[in-house]
Amino acid sequence: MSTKRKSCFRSEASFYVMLAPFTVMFLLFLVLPIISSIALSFTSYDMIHKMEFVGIDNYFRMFVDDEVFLTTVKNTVLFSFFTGPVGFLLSFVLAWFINEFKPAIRTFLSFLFYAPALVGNAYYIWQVAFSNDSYGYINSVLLSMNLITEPVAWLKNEVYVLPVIMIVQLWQSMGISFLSNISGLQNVNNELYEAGAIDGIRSRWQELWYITLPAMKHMLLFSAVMQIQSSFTVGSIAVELAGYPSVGNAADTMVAYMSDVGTVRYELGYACAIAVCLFAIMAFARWLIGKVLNGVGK
Amino acid sequence: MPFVYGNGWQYSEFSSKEKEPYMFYLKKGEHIITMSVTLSTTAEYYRRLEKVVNSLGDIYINISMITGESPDKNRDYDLFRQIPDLNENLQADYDSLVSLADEMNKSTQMSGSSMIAALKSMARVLKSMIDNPYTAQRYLSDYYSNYTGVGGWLYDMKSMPLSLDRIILSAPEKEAEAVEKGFFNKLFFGISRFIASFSADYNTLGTAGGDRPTIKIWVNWGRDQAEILGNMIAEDFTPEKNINVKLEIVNAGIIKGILAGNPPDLSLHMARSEPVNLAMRDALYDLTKFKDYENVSERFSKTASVPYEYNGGVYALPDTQAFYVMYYRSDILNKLNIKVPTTWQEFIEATVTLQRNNMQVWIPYLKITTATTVNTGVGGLSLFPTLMHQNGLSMYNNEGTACTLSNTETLEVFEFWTDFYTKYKLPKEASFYNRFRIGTMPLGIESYTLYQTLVNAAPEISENWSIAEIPGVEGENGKINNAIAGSGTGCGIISGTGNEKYAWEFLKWWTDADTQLKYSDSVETILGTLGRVASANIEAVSNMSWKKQDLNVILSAWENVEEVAEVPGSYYLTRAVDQAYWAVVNGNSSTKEALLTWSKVADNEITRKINDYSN
Repeated sequence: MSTKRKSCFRSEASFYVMLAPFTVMFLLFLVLPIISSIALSFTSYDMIHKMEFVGIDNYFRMFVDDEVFLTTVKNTVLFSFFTGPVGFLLSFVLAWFINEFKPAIRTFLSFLFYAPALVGNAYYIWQVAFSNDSYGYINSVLLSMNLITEPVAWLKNEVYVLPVIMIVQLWQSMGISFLSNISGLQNVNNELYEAGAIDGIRSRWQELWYITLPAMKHMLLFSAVMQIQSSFTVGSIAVELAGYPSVGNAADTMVAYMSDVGTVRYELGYACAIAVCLFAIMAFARWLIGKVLNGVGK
Repeated sequence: MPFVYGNGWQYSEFSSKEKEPYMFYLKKGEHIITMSVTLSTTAEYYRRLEKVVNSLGDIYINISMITGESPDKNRDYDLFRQIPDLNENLQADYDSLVSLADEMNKSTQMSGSSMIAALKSMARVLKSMIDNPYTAQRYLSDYYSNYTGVGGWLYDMKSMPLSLDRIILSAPEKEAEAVEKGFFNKLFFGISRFIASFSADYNTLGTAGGDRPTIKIWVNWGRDQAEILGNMIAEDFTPEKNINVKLEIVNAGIIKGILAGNPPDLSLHMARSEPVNLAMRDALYDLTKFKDYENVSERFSKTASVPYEYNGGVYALPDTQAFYVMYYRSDILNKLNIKVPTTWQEFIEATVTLQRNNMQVWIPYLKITTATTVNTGVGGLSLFPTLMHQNGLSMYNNEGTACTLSNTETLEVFEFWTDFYTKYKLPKEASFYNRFRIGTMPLGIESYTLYQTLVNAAPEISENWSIAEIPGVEGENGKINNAIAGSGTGCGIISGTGNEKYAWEFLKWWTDADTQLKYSDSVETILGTLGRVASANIEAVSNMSWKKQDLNVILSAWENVEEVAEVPGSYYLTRAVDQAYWAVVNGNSSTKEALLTWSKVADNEITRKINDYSN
């Protein structure tokens, strides 16, 4: 028995060695900070004086004493419920359309859509487009078409700022999930389509629902997880475009609030409590996505 | 000797048209060779272009006084009938521009393409306006953008930079060799330079060595400024006071340094609210403990150290200080018979007159975009604290434990301020510098540091504008209270490092008039006059080069500066004022409601912070 185990281990030793670098990084930079965050969230720590253990005071304060926090939770949830699924659907639909073209055009189009994510901070251009004065692109176009009479403060009006940030985030989100959708669509076995045609599929819609989607289920799950999870962590786009704090706190997300509490107000314990809360929300969202996507194609 | 525009290294020599090199006779001994820069043929173009730009600017002001900034496309303005000689002036400018473009193209090859393209583009707009006299107003925005482009080139024309690597003197018989390195040489050099960059220490400047005590300073500046400071330390400070200084360019916060156990001894140019933020966490050293603190504090204006006071101690010396002055276009105000306003009533009357002529007025508002702008302190972001001080009110109550936003007197001042935006429709966001220069915003209040930008980057209006003190509130006895709230940075000593004595010597030297003047002058030689430092040392600023009457305005405005205090949690007041402002200006709530809501939020935070640190 023991020799079998040993030889099992030895034959798999090379796999462990290959896994090791990633595991070490993962543990050190992902798992360890999460655990220490949870631990820090029960303390009050301002980086100069010593840490004080305060129990669940931070959580208490979050839900009972802090209106800004509740507003940020509302903003974050609204934000992800809109940009997450819509972004996911958008990237899938776009990938499906692009799939029809010849390879050359397909490459060019997918480059076009992936470019915003590639360039990183290109969303700054939206700051010029949505600028508050009469020379911003959108304001000047609307003014010259006489649809408005004076420049609209897009980024400084409670009513408009969140939709504007959502639009920019959608534009930015054509990222990895888009590429994975394209590759998933490419990898669907063509024989399935032929079999479907023989079995009497009458329209593209049926083909999509009965063949393409189930065949791509894993890709869809991956893409949905990436899209929706990343929409919870939007922070820098909101801060750069709408400023922190945004007008009436209407565009503050939990990440932005967290970095403010931690780096500007030096309340590390409270910031960790917010992070733990965000973690819980994201875990719940992941479970929800899994449930929903299981029912696709049935 | 002409230097032709180009990106690579080139060789030129003093020679006649037939390529005969000139001989210079040098007697035996030491000589000094100087070369001076002239514009030569471009000076002629510059003069002509300046005339054209002036004329274009006048035309634009005349047109926009009739049509406003966004003219109605479907209306017949009959511009050529309402403005005398419009078409003749346009035609003359068009001809000048075309001939200038052709001549410049032929003679010099300066950054020929983009500049000449700008001239031709402007000429094209003028042609369209001449050819379509009834609908000329449609080209107004095109005119504006091309005009700023050409004006920009006028400025750039004067400042084409040149890098000199070597001057070669050789005997008349010998051929001076043009040294050109081959491709592989360059490659090898690039690689070795790259490898060396891993071991070279780019971050430390200053002095070291000897048996002297050392202090460490962190600055968050560019390399140029830090090197200037390093040189000044090596030349003046260390030899005089016998203290070594290690100067490091660090982009991290002091808190992180303290957390890591590796803090500096001094920090310069700290943002406005940082000293109190650090002081309440016991991170800074109380400067009043030094015996000669009183003497040093006389270098600054009366209230300059108010923002750095906490719990009876002073935790930083003012480093830079800026405040508001009023800018006005004397040519436009004279044309419309408006006198320079001294009270707010007169300011409002001037605004109304200007708005009737389709122009606008600017009062300062700085958008809070990132966390650092919050650290600027509420005084430098908008006119509100200034107005509060002019009415004898303060932003916080006497003990510094709560803000005064919910008081009735504050409500009146707040309404007065937001009326500018809601009743008089002043723009909430605009580039005051651009519009002042063009002339569509001939009156405005801005920080006095804009003065340098206007002097340098807007040469075409240099005769036509001036500054004055901002308007004030008229008191019962007729005296005008024009207090101003300021903004700026401070420098302080980190506590607990054991080097406080030496750090204090450095601070005294740094805020001394001579040092500040020398530092500002050195930065100006590298960055141009735009790099002038808004020092907090009054004597230093007076000795920098200003126009005499403008310096008088600045100095007398400085006497009226009343700084806003900083209390724990003050950044929340800045945010609260901003939020209330937007709520009212966007029409989403009344002034009373906005102030009450946000003052509660600010008070909450201030109370929490004071409780956290009240030991």
